[in-house]
Amino acid sequence: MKVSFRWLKDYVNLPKEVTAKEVANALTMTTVEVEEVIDLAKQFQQMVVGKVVELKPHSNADRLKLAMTDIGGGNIKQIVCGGTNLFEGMLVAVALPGAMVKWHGEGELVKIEKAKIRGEESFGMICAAEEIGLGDIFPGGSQEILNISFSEATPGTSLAEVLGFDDVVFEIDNKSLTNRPDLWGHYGLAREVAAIFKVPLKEIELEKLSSELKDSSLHIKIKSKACRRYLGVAVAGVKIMPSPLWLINRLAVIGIRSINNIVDLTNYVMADLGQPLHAFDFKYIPEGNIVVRQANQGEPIVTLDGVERRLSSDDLVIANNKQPIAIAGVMGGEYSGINDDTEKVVFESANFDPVSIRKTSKRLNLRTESSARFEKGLDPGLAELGIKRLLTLLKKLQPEVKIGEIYDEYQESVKSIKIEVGNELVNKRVGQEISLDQAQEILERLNFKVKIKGDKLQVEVPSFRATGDISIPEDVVEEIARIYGYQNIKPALPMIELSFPPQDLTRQIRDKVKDFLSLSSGFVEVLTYPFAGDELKSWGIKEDELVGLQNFISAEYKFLRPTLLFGLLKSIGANQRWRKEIKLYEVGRVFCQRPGIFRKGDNISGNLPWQNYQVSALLVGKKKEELFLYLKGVVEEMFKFLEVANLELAVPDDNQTYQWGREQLILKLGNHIVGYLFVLDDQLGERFNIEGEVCGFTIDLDELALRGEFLSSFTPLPKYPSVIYDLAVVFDQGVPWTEVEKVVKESSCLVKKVEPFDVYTGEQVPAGHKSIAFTVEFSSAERTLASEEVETEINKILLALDKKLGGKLRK
Amino acid sequence: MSIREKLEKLIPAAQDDIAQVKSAADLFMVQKKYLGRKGELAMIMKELKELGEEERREIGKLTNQVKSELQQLFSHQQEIWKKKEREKSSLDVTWPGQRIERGHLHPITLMQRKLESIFSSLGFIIEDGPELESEYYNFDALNIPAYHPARDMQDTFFTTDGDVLRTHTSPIQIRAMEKYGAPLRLIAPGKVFRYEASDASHDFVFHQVEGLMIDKDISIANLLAIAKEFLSQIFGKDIEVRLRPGYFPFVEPGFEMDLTCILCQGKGCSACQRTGWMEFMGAGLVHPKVLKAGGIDPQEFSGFAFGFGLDRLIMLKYKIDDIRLFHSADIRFLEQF
Repeated sequence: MKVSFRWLKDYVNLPKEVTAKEVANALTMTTVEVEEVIDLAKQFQQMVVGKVVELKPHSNADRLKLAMTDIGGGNIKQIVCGGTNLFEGMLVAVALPGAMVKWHGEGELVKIEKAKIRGEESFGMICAAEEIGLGDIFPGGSQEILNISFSEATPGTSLAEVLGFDDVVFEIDNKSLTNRPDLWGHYGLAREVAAIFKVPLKEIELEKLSSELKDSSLHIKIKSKACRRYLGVAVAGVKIMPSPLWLINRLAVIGIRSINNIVDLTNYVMADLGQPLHAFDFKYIPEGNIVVRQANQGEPIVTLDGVERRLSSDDLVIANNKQPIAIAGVMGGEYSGINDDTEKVVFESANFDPVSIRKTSKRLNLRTESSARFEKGLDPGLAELGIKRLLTLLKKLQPEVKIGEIYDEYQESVKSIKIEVGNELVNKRVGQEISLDQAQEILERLNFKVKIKGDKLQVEVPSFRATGDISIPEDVVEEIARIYGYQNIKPALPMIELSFPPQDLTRQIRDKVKDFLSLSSGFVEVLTYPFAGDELKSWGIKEDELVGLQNFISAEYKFLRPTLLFGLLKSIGANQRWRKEIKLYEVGRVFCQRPGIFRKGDNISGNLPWQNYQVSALLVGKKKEELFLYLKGVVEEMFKFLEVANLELAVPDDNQTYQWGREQLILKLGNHIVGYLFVLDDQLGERFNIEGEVCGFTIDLDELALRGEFLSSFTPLPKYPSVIYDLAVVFDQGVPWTEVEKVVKESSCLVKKVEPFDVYTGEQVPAGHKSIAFTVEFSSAERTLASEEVETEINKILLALDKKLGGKLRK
Repeated sequence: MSIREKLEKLIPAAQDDIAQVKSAADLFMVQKKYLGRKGELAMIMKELKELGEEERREIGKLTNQVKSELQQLFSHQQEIWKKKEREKSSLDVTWPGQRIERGHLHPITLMQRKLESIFSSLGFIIEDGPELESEYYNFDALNIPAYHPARDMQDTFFTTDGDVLRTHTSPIQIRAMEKYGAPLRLIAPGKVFRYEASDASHDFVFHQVEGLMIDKDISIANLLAIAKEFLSQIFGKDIEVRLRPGYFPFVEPGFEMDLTCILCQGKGCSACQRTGWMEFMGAGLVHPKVLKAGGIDPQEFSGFAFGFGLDRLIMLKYKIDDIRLFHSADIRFLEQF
């Protein structure tokens, strides 16, 4: 919202030395955030009103003219100009050398210099509205010169002054006004300024008006609770015409374009007091019948913006005998509005239920200055003030108009709010002593009525703050504290009892996994957007398992991710521009439709969808055999680091496989699968344009926390030396290592460890066979082993390998 | 040549040979020539047997003397050569160090841990909550009823079932109140979501840190002190904070908290629009309705809450100019941390 500093000063007499910046800063520190302070005069430096006294043809260009222009005090300069609407005697905006203009209304600002144009001297430039940033307020394109003859200003007067732009505008963040319906107009802000600077607030000027019309009675019927109050008045003898300069200026400064005198007046009062008003042409309100009712389902209305809209029975409308003439509080109807030939006007000033207005405005996606105010909850008292203010101004503008009786339908009057606030509460919440007297003085500056009773303040909230903004003692504490000044509160550490915070095992696991992968295994942690698109479906994931979004950023982000893999694969594809071999992982939540552990809330049935933390890591390189075994080592060591004792890596059954994997192992804790170690399906790698082989693992960390046996025990150091023996045994290709290991361990109780170190296939062994070289470590807890003893054991082992697996010692 | 003559010539001869030595290996050979098992001194000593007893004693004495002199001579030379060899080292210490493969934690993780450790040291719980959240926890329980204009302040992602991607970490306040009751102090870092277009300073997924402290008589002064303290810890220097009014339905009073611009130390620069202050976080005293929603009696307890953007904090600290880098997964960015 834009606020004019001059307008504010209509209502408060600030000491001369107080600058606009200081006022803006004071508002920011005590009331609402002023985001920007714009000195309007700055952009009009070196611009004056000029009078075209003579037009001469340009000798070298048909389209250009030489405008002999009075730029003040009879100082006449030649200015070359191409405007088609120039005439002698016209008052124009002249940019003198040094002024900054936007050439043809486009691009960067350019500095005007004295120049020769096609051989003719030109002292500055005669401007179009667009060229000096006024295109919105004075539409006309870049070819048409801005005609300011209406100002009747003396040539040489500064342009900013004539257009009312010798002002400073505050840009206020609308969001910070969400809870302050009273601040949506200049008067409300002036009230704050008055309280902050301790100066009196001037009263709104109102004329005493009595009815001068007999044949214009209105019959207002309110048929919905969503309308709290409705005031209407008919005014006859109105002439629709352009607004006077002061009104155009006032609106232009805060960015509102002038339409005509009547519409401008309603806008003016809205910007002044925050009360939206509407003007109807009386001829569309037969017999003066105005009905405020809920719309009929499907009822159509064409709004002022020319759009036909279908209403729902939740929408509130203003209607005549037959049909809606406005969507209440949002926008007027097209045909019932003011036209150039309107003579008799009905003004509306009303108060609507904020929720109703908001619902309608959201449903129709129609946000207006009016709906923005009503949805915040306006003071019904403001409706009366608004209409009286409007009539006062109208009477000044057109003294000949005849004003009818003001009809006022007031359904429910707002009860005044009284709040008792203990001094102790104020002091405890602020954390500092503020005396009762001081609190009273502050509240009275804000128009609260205050009585002191014992050590309590009895506060009566003014009506303009009583529509939801101030309702509990804490609200009053805020009022006292902010005016007292937050900068006057001294920081103080709280005095509390010590206690140890509970530890969160799942968080600790996530942290340890990250530590292990990043700090010991050389992986890079990444974050990717937790969404996925339709491509999921082509990989066999059913839509009803996915959590879909109603509104999404793009089609590739339609669902919440059910796996971390897609984000990681995308990252690998992108990063392969810089490097071919990459190790990435992500820890994050993944989502799936079935119910999870989080409740939706008290008295709400069902749980939120499942959303566990997982880790997925991917490794890209040349040989999958190496990558896979490396990753397997990472997983095994990581579980040791996590102190999980019951990890088992197993070959999955057919119904246990991971859909993204080719060769794979499942990670089991007890009977529960908590993850997968896999060689990525090639098709998936190709889909993401990945060069090389990809291996990875995925582990559900919440499941891990639940199923892990977190024990770790110390193994005593051996007392007697062990004997180490290397063997090479030839097996059939199909024999897996784990079988060999099992047989070796089973056949001798002195075996402590069996580890393979080489596999060989080739000429030295028969076709279809492989030679596995491995180390066997023997030891006993009771004695040093003799070599004969060990040899006996080795023979037992070789015998067992031969018998059970067909293994023959390689010769 | 008599034995005595031989003995007397031995030292000068050794000295001559040493003069010819070019390396520690040469020296070793020379030493072997004189002092080795089959060396010249050993040969001479063999001859001793042939001498008479008296002469043998005399020459024996001389032999020992020569032996000890030779040993001294060689051990001295060894020292010299050792030193020379050391000086001749082939190590070029100016050669670049070997590239050690190291992994990287995401800057979000790093900053989050820093905050967690600061707050843990004050006994704060580090709390977590669902990212896919119900409207109840995300809005209603936080005093933002349906059709309240404050819902506009946060553009929301809705799932097809009408749940939301949490727009802030504040729902964790309620969940934690339900779980732990009062007194309570916690921080809750986590992902949040806003349905809006992204640019260099806005992303639709980012990270917030929620702070909540509930106890008897918690005040604005307490909030100021805790905020000042933790910010000073993060930035490693004294940070000033200031409060100004801000509106968040779940607090009353509500504040925007600014901190002294960390780039210009409050002198005023382009980053802080010459004000000397940077907007940092929303905060306030917990609204009594919110305490009630969490099952805590507002007559007995009060609290403060705050929430700030973790991404923005990291951007400030490392002067990062584009928030989208955090989700870019670009290793050239991540390997800098």
